[in-house]
Amino acid sequence: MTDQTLQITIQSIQNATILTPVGDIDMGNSSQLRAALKNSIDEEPSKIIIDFHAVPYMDSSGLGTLIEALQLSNQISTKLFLTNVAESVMSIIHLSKLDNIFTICDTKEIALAK
Amino acid sequence: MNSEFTIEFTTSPSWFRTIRQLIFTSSTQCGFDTRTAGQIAMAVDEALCNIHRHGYRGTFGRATLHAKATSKTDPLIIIEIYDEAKQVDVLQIKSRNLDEVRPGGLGVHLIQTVMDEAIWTKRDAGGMCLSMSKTSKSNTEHPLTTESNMHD
Repeated sequence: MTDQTLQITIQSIQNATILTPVGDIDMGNSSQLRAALKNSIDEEPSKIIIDFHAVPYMDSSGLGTLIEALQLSNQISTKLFLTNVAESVMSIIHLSKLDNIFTICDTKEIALAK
Repeated sequence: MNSEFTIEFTTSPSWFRTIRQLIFTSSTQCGFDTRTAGQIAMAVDEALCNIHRHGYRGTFGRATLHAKATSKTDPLIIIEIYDEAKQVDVLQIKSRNLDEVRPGGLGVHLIQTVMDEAIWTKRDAGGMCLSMSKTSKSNTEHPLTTESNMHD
């Protein structure tokens, strides 16, 4: 068995909150990302950026967490961005036909500039 | 390189990561490219999550996975997953409407999209069996999108 803990670094820059999860996001730990996103959305920043540069894999529970976060952030007009998304993670987003509902940027700097 | 293995395990999410790594390795070693191998591992992961979430209703049960990967002509992987969970009507196992943007219910869609074949059957001894296969002739194409816009 493997350790399921998901490390998430949270930074605030220019009224934006940047979350950087590290490791696979799956059924065993997506609740940690959900809680971190909920806390961030509650603070009503203008943007939330999820930096996926250190996420090699995400399953449908992680994807469901992102959909929930998008719906919550839309309610308070906070913009949600996904950045540095690996091909393996992009794959599940595309196969689920959800690539057009998320704003996906190459880097967090591009997301900050939007 | 051919490989074949059987693993019996508890349907705990902490095992699923190990199993998808096994499937990824078997898939790449028999000749699948890394993207396809990752998708096959994801399909297996989604199947295991469904067994845990729906079959055993979040409790820990037993499951057995048998995988056989060959590369005689083209890469081929055949995977069977057996559980002892509550049996379900196989006609009820289907993908949901993807036009509804909501969390949940994506696992069956992902399994059926990635794999060439995915057949659920009730086992005589109780529980369910999922038989899946994939060959390299049927890669799940997707153009990578680096920038896409949404709703605002």
